[in-house]
Amino acid sequence: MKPLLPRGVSREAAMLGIRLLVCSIAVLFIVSSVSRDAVNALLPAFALILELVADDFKVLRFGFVNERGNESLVLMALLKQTLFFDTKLVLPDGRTMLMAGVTLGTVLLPLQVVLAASLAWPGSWRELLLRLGVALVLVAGVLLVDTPLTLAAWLWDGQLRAHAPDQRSFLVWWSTFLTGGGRLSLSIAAAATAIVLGRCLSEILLKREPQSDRS
Amino acid sequence: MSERSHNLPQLRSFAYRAVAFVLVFAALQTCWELARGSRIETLWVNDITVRTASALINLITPGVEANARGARIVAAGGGLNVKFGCEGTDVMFLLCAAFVVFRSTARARIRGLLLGLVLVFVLNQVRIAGLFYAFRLDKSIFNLMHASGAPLIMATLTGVYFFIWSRRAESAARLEGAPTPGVPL
Repeated sequence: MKPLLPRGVSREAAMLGIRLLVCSIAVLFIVSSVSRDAVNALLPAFALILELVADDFKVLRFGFVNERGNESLVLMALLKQTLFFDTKLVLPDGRTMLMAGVTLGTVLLPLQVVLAASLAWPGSWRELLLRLGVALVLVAGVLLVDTPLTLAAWLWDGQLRAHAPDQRSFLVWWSTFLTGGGRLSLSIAAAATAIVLGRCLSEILLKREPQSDRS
Repeated sequence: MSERSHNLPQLRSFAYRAVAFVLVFAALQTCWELARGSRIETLWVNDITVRTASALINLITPGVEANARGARIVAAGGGLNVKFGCEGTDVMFLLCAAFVVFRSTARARIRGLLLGLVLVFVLNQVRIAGLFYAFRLDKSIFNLMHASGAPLIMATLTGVYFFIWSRRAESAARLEGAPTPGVPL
């Protein structure tokens, strides 16, 4: 009888593949349906980071916009302080509105990747719970260095293009890195770390349990 | 799944590899950024990616008559602009980074990587065609797929391929009596 799986593909790998795909699709739809609430919960943390990295700008509005069915997180700001470039001085005029936006799907992509991988990876219930706990901490870190810095970079990028196109900015490089797949790379690294640490913590707890409790 | 004991050296090795994975990806992506506007970008995006995607769309639905115009797929009823992040290089670089940090023989890694890159290219063509049809049929599906659905599924399928390859590499190493890659996953 012909084997069901292609040569070289173990049952373990096939099961994981199916679990990953199912969890990815499930997480995609679940997170998308609560995307606004999820991002709303993150807004205070995002606003705090923005205050730190975009302190040359005054935030007028930081909230949701729905444009033709596409829900986005939008930042509207004014230049607050004088900017000094090599040969230029840019004074705030109090009128020129600057805008930056990112779709909710993009904001929550790291959460979806980390959740999908954490849920799909096989292991005991204890390991799953520990893995999810670690995953949520790690993905929070990724989210905090993603969206607020991306939005701040958009504001800076506009100023650099207008007044100092030859000048480089780490913030703009970081935003380009994130948009070009860096978001995925950080999410995958966070997911793998959650899986490894979840297993490690589970083994530590198992070793600490009295022998009689384990049976 | 077989049980693996985690000790400090293994965890440390994993930590180094996780950081190296992100750094290698960042280096590859930075190199790609430096090639922006050059013939390399035009060749990859306009000639290879967009033309192939247009041909695929015309193969599936000949009546659409999609045309490749630079980085755009143009068709009556709505087309698509293959912009930064949609040309497939992001997942290709992720796969390259994974193969760089995974311990195995150079020959096995090269073979696995080449096959993987072909897979990613095919997946990206399917992504572009899928987004093309989604845009024409239902903008809400397009928005969902474009922002998170397509990247998530592409990363998942590529990850599954890498997992299958890594398990095969481990089995082959064990059969040959060579040290097995020490990634504790």
